[in-house]
Amino acid sequence: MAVFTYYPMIMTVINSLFATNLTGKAANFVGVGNYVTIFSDPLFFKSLGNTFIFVAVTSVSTIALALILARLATQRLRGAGFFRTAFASTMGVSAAAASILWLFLFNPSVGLISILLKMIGFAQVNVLTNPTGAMIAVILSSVWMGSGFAFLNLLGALQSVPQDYYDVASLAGWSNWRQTWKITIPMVSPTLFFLIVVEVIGAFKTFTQIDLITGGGPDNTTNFIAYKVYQDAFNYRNIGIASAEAIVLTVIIALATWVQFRFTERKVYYQ
Amino acid sequence: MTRVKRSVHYMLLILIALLMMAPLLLGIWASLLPTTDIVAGHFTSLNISLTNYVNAIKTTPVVLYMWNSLVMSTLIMLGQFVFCTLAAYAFAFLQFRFKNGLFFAFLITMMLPFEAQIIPNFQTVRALGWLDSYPGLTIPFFTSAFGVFMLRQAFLQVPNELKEYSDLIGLGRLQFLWRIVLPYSRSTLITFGLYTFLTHWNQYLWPLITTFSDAHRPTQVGLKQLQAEDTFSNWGVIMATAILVLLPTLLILIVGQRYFRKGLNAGGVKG
Repeated sequence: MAVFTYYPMIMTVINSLFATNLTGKAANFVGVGNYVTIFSDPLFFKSLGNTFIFVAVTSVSTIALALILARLATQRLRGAGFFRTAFASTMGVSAAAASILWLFLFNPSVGLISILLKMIGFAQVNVLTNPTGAMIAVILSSVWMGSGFAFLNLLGALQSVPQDYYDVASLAGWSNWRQTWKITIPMVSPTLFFLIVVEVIGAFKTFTQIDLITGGGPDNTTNFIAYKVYQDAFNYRNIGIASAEAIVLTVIIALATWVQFRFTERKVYYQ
Repeated sequence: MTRVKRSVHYMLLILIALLMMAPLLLGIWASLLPTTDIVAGHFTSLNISLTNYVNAIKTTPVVLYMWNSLVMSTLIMLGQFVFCTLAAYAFAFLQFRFKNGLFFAFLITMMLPFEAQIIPNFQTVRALGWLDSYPGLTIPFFTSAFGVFMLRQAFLQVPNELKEYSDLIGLGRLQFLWRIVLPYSRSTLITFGLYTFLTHWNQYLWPLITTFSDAHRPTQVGLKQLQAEDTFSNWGVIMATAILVLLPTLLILIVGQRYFRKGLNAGGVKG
């Protein structure tokens, strides 16, 4: 724990204050110089902006999708167990394997998504070389990968909501939509809050999909911060810059988590 | 529910389940087709066989990769079992100075992104000469704040009477842990074990930077390796390897579903 968690954390802060020489060793003390460098680099801001878009869209969509799936799968029906397993199954697929599955779907010549796009009249069929297309592709695959985990969480929470509430609401003529909004969401709000925190942190750290599906491209559109840290550290061997970026990422995650606790938790309803 | 409403509901469930499982089902289907049919776009071809699997096993190191992953995940699971159990035991049953402060110091590490520790960890492992080896792949993960937290919560539920009883009959600390606490917390331990195995079987970033040879490369990074080599144009084989790699975790998830749900809810409900 000390050697592989606290020591590296401190070393990262120290490294971020040094310039690195050609052998990749932190050599000269430059103070906040690395931070000045990254904050005056337009590429870093592009990475930051795209990371925020990705995190917001992915975490909200994942949770919304999982909530719909969980609502459908908790109705009293025969065979519900089968559908639960089907909806949870993406949790058993690793990010790397899932990336290969999606890479196949997006492939310009054999991918089903490309073929479908061609059928409805899109001229450009290589989704991954188009900046918007690549972003959508990474979001789609990430939402798919994350939905199983969110679904299993919400399923457990939904099952603890007494069926009577829905029965009364149905008698009163409430629509499904209104029942979800007025009964389900308040009742499972602790789980939703937990999921939002976890999904946002997870999305900030997205790496595997980027490495396998887009490689950060095209034109750095999907080069999110976690991936940029890796590239700067292990491809360009610039430990100082990479460490400074890693610290920025840590601070952003901590801030995002703090904001959620400060402003969202008040709305959470604990029984 | 009326019959019409019920059948609409079923149709919706089936449609959504198909959509959710489409990437996986298409991947499985493609892995059974000859590559020539895939490239020609003959997805409705019925030339299905296990040839791609035979080729994947014969011509790629996928079996070796899977063995590496199995060794790595099992070692980490055992390591975490030992260290997290002992730490959780201390936090749950022993009285010592700075206990709360230390526990807080453990918990706070759950917030720190691994990306921010990875560069110094890489340097440490390199300095120890552990690059591209099992110790380098596993030892950095022998402790986990999440694991300690989860097990402590479970251990706290052991009734006080059992502790008093074990003192009465003169059981030592380790005997108390082994004979009473662990059996009592069996379902949490199973969840913890499955979760740890799954997480590390699916791990990507760390093995990506610390392994260089097929001898120690685990599956997830192996997928990238296979994709980078010319096998990539051979879609049938690449899909077969992806399916082989995701099969163990998918099975674990389906079998262990109910443990996951229970464990997840214990984390989702604050207390």
